[in-house]
Formats: sequence, structure tokens, C-alpha cells
Amino acid sequence: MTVAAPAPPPDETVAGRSLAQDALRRLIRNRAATASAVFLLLLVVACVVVPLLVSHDVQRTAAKFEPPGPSAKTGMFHVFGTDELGRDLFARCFYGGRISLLIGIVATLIAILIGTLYGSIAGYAGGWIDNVMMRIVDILYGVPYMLIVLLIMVAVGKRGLVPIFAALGLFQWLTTARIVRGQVLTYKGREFVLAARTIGAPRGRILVRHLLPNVMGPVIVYSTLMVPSVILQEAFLSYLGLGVQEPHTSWGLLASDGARAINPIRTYWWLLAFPALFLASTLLALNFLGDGLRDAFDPKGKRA
Amino acid sequence: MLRFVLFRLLWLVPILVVTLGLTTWLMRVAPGSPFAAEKRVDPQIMQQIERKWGIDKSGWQWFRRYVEGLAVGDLGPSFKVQGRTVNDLLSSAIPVSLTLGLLALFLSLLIGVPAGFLAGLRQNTGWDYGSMAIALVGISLPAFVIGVVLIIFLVFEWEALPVGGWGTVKQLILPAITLAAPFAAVLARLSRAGVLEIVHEDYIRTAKAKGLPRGEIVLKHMVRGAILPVVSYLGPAAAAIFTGSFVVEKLFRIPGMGMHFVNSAINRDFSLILGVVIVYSTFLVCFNLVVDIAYGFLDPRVRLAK
Repeated sequence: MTVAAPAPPPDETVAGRSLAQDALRRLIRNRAATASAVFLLLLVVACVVVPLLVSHDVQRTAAKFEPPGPSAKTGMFHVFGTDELGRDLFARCFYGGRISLLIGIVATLIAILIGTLYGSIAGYAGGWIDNVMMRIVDILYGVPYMLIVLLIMVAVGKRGLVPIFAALGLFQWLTTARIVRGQVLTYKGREFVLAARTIGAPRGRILVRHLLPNVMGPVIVYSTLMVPSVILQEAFLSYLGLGVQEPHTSWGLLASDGARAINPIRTYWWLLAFPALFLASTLLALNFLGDGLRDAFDPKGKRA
Repeated sequence: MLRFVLFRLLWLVPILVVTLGLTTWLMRVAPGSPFAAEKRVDPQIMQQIERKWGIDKSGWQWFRRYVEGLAVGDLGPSFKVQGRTVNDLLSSAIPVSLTLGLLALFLSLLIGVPAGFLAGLRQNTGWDYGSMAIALVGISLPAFVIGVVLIIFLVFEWEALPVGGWGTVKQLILPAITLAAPFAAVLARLSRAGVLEIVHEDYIRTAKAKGLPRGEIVLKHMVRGAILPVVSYLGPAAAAIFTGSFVVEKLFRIPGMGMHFVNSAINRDFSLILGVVIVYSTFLVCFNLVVDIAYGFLDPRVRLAK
């Protein structure tokens, strides 16, 4: 008995587009989302490069609280002015951007990882395991999340970046878990999963190779929208003095320092305006991109 | 219906057990004592103090004693605010936060929902882009930036309003706007999405085919369906608004719950933290319950499980 030769590869011209390719095409057609993606890319590059070129240090100080423009004392040109220690705000904005973006991305990754793992196990296992796991999620939804974050930050005491990642990342996986579970539930009864089971694929392989790729769309969308909210939460922590610590900085810390410097007699407007501008434009772009991704992945394509 | 309500209220018990347990544990693992002061205190006096507040015992014993007190409605004395009980502190802060929160919630609904409807009904027009851009800015700025910008213009520059304090109507305006802004923005986005969700439904087309005037279609047929995502968001949103915002209360010097929320954690005022947690979780469960019931009335497809 001879084994049939494998079917010839399908003709290129009739090859179907995958869901992801389709989504990408729709995303590129969305101008706001594409512009946001380009902006974010440029911003990330700038946040990596600019602090290497311009000193944000205390050492090379000009005068304190100088408005944007050439310094009256040293003649150096400060695009965004200087802060209360005479540091160049332009450089510090980009340096702060590094940390804000890093916190946003790392904490989101932690949350997505836990949520995906938890949700896929619950959805795939089903039955009482699913029931117990999702009731735990329900209970955790009732816990005041920000208070727990504050307590962790107080409990840790010494504050590097790691506790901030952990505090912000470890407790926001709940919604991701719900999304992933829902997706896994819809797909696990499909024919392709049945086919994989029939040929004897182990559970782990079915989960990783067959189910998770189908789950990633909504998860990517949700994580794009989670990054801005994490950056805002970091700003709140920094406002309380529990976030990033000097001499490191973040947009949240810069903006809250700027907010603190405001008084009725003299307004150091640039200290608030520029960090807030960075914060707002980044968050705006992330939200646009997230919305664009959601529309692109939405099979109904209502807004495309 | 009654069974549904009771079941949902019983849900509060595990939530409180987990939250209180987690909080107690976190406070216990934190190094140092809440009574550590600048001055060195005689170890014996310290022991006396710790015994008085019951934190010389293990976390478990403390937790049990606390729950016993809770059963009779006693939240214990505050660790840090001299001579005041937690019941006392909370009962003076809750009305303040409720008043401000109610105003802010009303404001955010009044601005957010019509803006979202306008954007959804005139999709891809200037109205749509304009209101959604404003909404995104509202979501993208931290509350302290919004608050400070309001203070700079309305208080320092134009001297139209007082900077802060509590007691007069004028003092309520700025904090209510600051508190409402992010919620109004989210509500606008949600109601726009809600409108887009139903605008192509058959029953809307039927209403149009009958020749109903546009206003009547929007008010009678669309609001009920499009408001659903807004309603489900209102539960957590109301809990967050009513427990107050630390940033708003600090900026405008308001004696509300948000202050206790943050200060108790920073000062490690154990009993006050637990009190705040109880109020928040209770608010959350109750508002979510109200929302779910309202949902059943608004959407005939949803029937509450018995």
C-alpha cells in the first residue's frame, strides 16, 4: 500500500488571508491608528536615544526655574526650560518617558501573562475547576485594587522599579482572565480542536498551538488599552510619593512636581505643561491604536 | 428576585474575608511598627502601646478580634488619629464623599451620555471626532493635572471660584468637575459604542420605516438599548466616585473618604484601612446589584437568575 503524495501547496493566487493579515490590512487603512503607531515608535526611539545625547543630570546645571529659551546665566538653550534644581526639562522628559513606558509595558506583560494562563486553564479545564477559578476572580474584583497597590508599596519600603512592576502588574490580570476564558470556551468545541484531539495531541499542545493563537486578538487589543491605564496609575503613585523616586523620574513624577510648583504668585507653567503633554499624547496615541486594533479585529467590521 | 438579591449580598462575605485577610497580611509583613516615631521610645512603653492596640498578638488573633468587633458594628479605634474611632472618622467623611460623588456622577452622566449619543448618531462627522477627541484627552490626563489647570485658570487667573474648602456650593464646583471628568469621558465612549451597536438593529429600522420622527426614535427606541454598556459601567464607577478621590480631596482640601483611603495605607493605620475597605467593597457589591437589577428592567432579553 502506497502513501498518497502530499497535496501540492495551494496556488498563491487563491491562498486565503489569515485573520491576523486581514486585521492588519484593516488597521493600516485606519489613519488615526497608523499615525498613532508611527508616533509611538518614534517616541520609543527618542526616549532611548535622547537621554544618551543630552544630560539630564544635576551636574550640568543652569539656573533654577528658567523658562524655555536660552539660559540667562549660562547661555545654554533649554527647549523646555529648567526645573527646581536647574536640570534641563527636555532631557528629563525623555528620560522619564523611558521609565513610564517601561512600567506600562512590563506591568501589562505581567498582567497579560498571568491572565492568559489563568483564563485558558479555567476555560479549557471547564467543570468545577472553571467554576472555582472564576468565582475567585469574582471575589478579587471586589477588592479595592489601588489600596492593595498602596499597601504593597508601603510594605516594600525600599522602592526600585521592581516593586512598581509587581504591584501594578500582579493584580490587574482579572479582566484578561475573563476575556481569555470566554475565547477558549468558544473555540474548544470547534472541529479543529476535535481533530487535534482525535490524532492524540496532548492537552498542553492543543492549548498552546490551537487555542491560544485564536485568543490573542482580543488580548492584544485589551493590553494596548491597559498600558495607558498602568501609566496613569504610576502617575498617581508618583503623586503620592510612592512611585518612582528621585533621581529617577517618570512623566507622572515630573507632572506631579510641576503641579506642586504651581502657586498663585508665580506660575512655572512649563514644569506642568511639557510632562503633561508627553503623558497625554502618548496615552492618546495608545488609546487610538487600541481602538483601531479593536475595530480591526472585530469580525463584524462595523466601524471599518 | 428576593433570592437573587440575598445571594448577591451574601457574596459580600467572601469578598470581605479575602480583602480583609489580604490587607491584614500585607500590614503584618510590612517591616516596622505603625507606632515607630522619630523619638526613641522605651521598649516597655512600646510593648504597652502594642498590647493596647492588640498588635502584640499574631495576625490571625488580631484578625479574629477585629471580626468579632465588626459583628457588632465596632470598627475599633484609629491607630493614628488620636482619640477618634474609625466609626467616628468614617461617619464624618462618608456624607462629604457622597455629596460630592453624587454631584460628580450626575455631572458626568449629563455631559458624557449626550456627547456619546451625538458622536454615535453622527458617526464619522466633525461632531463625532470632536467629542471623542475631548473624551480621549479626559481619559489621558491624570486628575491632578486637570485639577491644577482648572485652579490656574478659574482661581488664579480669573478669580471666579474659591480654591478649596468645604461648606458652600461654590466650593463644590471645581472638585465636582475634576472628579467627573474622567468618568464623563468613559461614559461618552461607552454610549457612543452603545449607539453604534444598535443603530443597525431591526427594531430601529422598523421604527424608521413606520415614519417615526427622528427625535422619537432616539428617545423611545435607542436610549434604552444604547444605554446598556453605560449602565453596566455605572456599578464600579459609582463605587469609585462615592469613595472619593484622594487627588481631588487633597487639591481642594475636602474632608472626604479619599483622604482616609490613601493616608491610612501610608500611615499604616490598620483599623482605618480595614474600615475603608469595608465601605468600598460594600459600595461596590451594592451598586453592582442595583445595576444588575436595572439591567433586567432595561433589557427584556436579560432575566435575572432565580
